[in-house]
Amino acid sequence: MAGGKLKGVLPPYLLSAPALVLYIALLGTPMIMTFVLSFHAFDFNKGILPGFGFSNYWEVLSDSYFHEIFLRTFGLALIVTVICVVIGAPEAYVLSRMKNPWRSIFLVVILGPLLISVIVRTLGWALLIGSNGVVSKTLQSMGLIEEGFQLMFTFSGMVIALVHVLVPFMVISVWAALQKLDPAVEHAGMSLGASQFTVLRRIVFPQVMPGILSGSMIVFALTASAFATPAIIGGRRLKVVATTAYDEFLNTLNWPLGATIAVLLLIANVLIIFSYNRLIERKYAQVFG
Amino acid sequence: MSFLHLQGLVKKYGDFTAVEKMDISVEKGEFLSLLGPSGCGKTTTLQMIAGFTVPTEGRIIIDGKDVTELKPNHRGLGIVFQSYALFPHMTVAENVIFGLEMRKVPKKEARQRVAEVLELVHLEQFSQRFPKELSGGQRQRVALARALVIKPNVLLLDEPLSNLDAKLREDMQIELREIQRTLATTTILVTHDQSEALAMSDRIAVMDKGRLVQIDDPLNAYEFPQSTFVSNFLGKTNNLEGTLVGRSDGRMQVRVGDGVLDVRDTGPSVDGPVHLSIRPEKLHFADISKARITARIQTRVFLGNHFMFHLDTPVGRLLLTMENSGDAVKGENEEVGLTWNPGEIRIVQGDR
Amino acid sequence: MKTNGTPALIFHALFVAFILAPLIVICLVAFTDKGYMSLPTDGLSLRWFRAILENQDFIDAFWVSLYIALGSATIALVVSVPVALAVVRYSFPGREGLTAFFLSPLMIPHVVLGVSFLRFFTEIGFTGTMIGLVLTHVIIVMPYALRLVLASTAGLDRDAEKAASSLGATGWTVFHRITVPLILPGVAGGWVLAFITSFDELTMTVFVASPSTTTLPVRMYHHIAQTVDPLIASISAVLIFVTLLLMIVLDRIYGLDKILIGKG
Repeated sequence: MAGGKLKGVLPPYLLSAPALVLYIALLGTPMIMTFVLSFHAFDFNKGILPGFGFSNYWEVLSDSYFHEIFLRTFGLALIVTVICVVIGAPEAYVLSRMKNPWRSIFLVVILGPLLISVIVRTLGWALLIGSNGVVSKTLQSMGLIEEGFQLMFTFSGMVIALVHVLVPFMVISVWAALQKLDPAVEHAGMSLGASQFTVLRRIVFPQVMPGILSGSMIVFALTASAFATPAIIGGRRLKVVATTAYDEFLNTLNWPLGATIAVLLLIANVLIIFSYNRLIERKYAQVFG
Repeated sequence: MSFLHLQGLVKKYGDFTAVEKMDISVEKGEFLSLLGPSGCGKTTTLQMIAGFTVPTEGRIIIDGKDVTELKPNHRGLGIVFQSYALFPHMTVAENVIFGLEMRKVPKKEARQRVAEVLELVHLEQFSQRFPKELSGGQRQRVALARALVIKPNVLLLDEPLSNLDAKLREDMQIELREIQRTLATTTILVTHDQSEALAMSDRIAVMDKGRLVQIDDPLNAYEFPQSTFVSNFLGKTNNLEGTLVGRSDGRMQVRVGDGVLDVRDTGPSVDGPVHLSIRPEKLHFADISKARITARIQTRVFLGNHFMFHLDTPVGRLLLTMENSGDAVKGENEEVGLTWNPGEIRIVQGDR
Repeated sequence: MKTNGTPALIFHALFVAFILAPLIVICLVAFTDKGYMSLPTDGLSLRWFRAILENQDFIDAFWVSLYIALGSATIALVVSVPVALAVVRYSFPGREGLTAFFLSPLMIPHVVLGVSFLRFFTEIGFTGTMIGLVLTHVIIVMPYALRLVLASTAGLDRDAEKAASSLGATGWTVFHRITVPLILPGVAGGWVLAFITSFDELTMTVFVASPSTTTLPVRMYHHIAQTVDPLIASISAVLIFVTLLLMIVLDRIYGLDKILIGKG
């Protein structure tokens, strides 16, 4: 490491002390409390019971109601991720081949919405795809459809809105991977006789694969834990894990069950991230390092 | 009948002319260098030959076939890129075999050819490594092997040695030259390094500001530069500017500063200043009594195998280099005499 | 040679249209003169922008969000800078683990954080307070701030500090005359990113906000859950506009592309 690192244990921990105290008090403690809470039983009349047990976990893992919610959530995450790959990765490639200033402009146009509140972006889709929505109205006025249609409160509606909310993350990841690509490799491939398509398939694609994977991981994890968009577009009927936890906490007031759902969501999230890291280490350490 | 023909090649970007009216013919098996400072158009020329840049005007003919409109993947050229452009996700063997796969060469033959070319560049041991696991010099060889294995009709080298350190670069120059001689592949090298061009090429095409200014074999280009630009760019030189004061019997007298130099008249019509060039190694110390001019040594620089002197003379500052022969050497501030063979002073064109 | 063909540009146009469509629709609907959601077909009206000012709930929520964002971004930066210096400058046992710990909230779904904070504040009897809300937001925005500060600290030329020392500057002088100015763009960028992230946060806050500490996104969420009217569109349009302004500011101080890449 250039310049060399300073030795010593006390100074770095003193420097980190304020943050460390904050994290232990406000992140460590609540997380442990939630974990503990998930093992408490609950009674609608008596509230949280003192005993410990796996009853909540058993309830979630055996009840088909929860199965459906978890399946819907991860199905949603899978579909959103696939669509983000299919449209986000090519868009990143197109962007990388643009010349400035267009490249910077469109990079900001596509990534900028990340800074706009999710609730605003979701509202935009509610306006577009609702029964009185702009899409429906426009198609009607053009005489393309007879009756107004509605994607509000449908699975497809959730997919569209979530793709919109999360696809910038895919573009960022693939874009970052493309930046590491030596621009001459495409020329090298062509000079060896490869067609444009072969260059894309055999030279560009394998090299941006780590970017696609990391983008997929981010999109999948964020979709699986998304709250605002499923709550507004999916509504009461199409519940996902996050909205279910919310309902258990703030509507049914069954906190231990809500905590259990939260813990399971966290475990699933952490598992995805760790298995992704393992995959990257195993597969790409030798090649890209 | 030349093998590679550039006919009136022009590349314009808006108002900017990157390459102006290039006409070059390259013989089969010849090693030609495009030499010039950055921005002289040499890379653009290479990109046009490769097909990555479309010429504004002119034709490119390879082996009697007009390839100007051909896509790069159909030109059959071997290219070694400055960054090497190895495919980082493929092993050495996979990199090298790629071009053969594109040509649908049968597996068995392809493997055979890969083995042969890897042997040629001394990388037999490394075929299963990834580029990341190789040194700079080894990567360079992979890039060369990948370009050569397809038996290209023309090999294009784009500053191939610029990322290597000085010692390795010299070794690779010799090796590259030997390989090129063995295979007799027509080769175009783009470089800004004059010593590289001198060491490796059959002919050097010196470019400046988009123009081809001189094309010659290395010795001629060095000994008989046609302009101050070429004499400056190829090696070190003393450039002098003077006025013609006499001309007779095949000799010219040129006044430079406070002195008059006797120069062999190579016959140019002269109006305005006369530009002269003499290489520092063509100047010699002499007894003041026998000297053509006297000089004072301002600085002396020791460079191992030779010395370099900066001299104050009546004709201006001159540079003189002298082999380190082990003899006693003049010191700074000494008065010395200078002599030279008048035939070594060249009349060149001034810069436009 | 490396240009996009027509199909690529058509794809690009569709993609950009997809990204911008919902935002444009919001801005259009906000200007309607009708009492319901519709495009402003009979001329633009500022009716629903004036309506924002008459809705004290939203005004209050805006101020709550602003205070929380200002407070949490500032606290997050103040504790991030020493952490970044420790991690970049020192080699010590637990260095990797410490960094991962400080970045870990990125891995935790906000719903889980919301659940946990709610439980925690209920247990210690601290529910719905402003300070509590600010501190929870610190946990959420700190990883974003830390990443940018880490990047600018790691990119700092240590030789500039050594040069200052060799010229006779004391440790403190080196810090505030050399170190701070050099990492300032990253710190400022981190602060703005932290501010925006906090201001936009909904999922965690919806658990811990009380009626008196309802933030703007929470207020908007509850409103949308009841009814979708042009008022919410005009508020959203204002938010889009303010975010655009902030993006320009960010671009000036640190380079927007670097910050957006940091968000990923």
